[in-house]
Amino acid sequence: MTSFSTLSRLLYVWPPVQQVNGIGSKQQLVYHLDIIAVKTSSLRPVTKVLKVGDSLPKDAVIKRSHSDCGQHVLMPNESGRDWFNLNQYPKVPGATWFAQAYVPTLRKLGEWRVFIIGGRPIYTVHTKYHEGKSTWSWEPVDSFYSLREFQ
Amino acid sequence: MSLLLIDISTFELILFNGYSELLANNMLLNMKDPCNPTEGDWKIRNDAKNKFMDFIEKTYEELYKLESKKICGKSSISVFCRFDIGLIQNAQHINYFVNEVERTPTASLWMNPLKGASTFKSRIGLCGSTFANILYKWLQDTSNPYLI
Repeated sequence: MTSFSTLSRLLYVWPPVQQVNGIGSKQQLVYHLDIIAVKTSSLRPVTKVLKVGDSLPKDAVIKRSHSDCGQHVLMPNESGRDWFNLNQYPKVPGATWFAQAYVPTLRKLGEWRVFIIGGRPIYTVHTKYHEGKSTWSWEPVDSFYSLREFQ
Repeated sequence: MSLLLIDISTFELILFNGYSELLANNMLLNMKDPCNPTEGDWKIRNDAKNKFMDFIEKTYEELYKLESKKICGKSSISVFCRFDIGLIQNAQHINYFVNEVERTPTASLWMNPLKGASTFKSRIGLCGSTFANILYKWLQDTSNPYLI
């Protein structure tokens, strides 16, 4: 991180170096999304930071900060949900583990990935993971069901 | 401008009731394809799209403000980010929620054509050109010593 910071004195780096750690830690993002959910009267899954040695809730998803692309995620009933295994992962400075309430619809119905460029939603794609085949399918989205139709 | 201090523990009382509060009705879980409906009244489809985009825009605006206040500068999401949206349900409501915000060069773009989908038109050109223009503007603003 120090050499990266030094490099950023010579080059422009995006995302800016001073924001990289905040982005990676995810704690700040979770905190902000929880505040926004209250403000916009929407819902959020419970997410709590775990300290080494804390009991790992059986029905929650265990995931690590400073990670993306679905890495370091342990679903409920998956093997290796213990601190001995979690501590085997390579150490990343400042990385922490979280427990997040399992949201069944994420795997069953997939996710809408919205690309926001310059503050405007430019493109939306729907993705779904297929457990048996261990593959993803995706399609660009241009039409939506109403939330009432999902009830 | 007024300054509002909020005790965040009050939010926790509303949000944090336990890990197993989330439900999913059978109809929701048995849906085969939750996107791109090809039937239904135009007004319902139009309102549904507006509601989805309204959720995205409101959440983006609030997140931008919170992150920018925290760093006393412009949050990097003003250049590029990807919101991952899921459906979440409790006893009374179904809502959209932001599962993840990706914003680094490792974010998956999901723009390659699917195997066998001959009609799939990639949007990489649209996204790439828009990103290039916005990043160039960000560079100009960042390197301008007279811009406050």
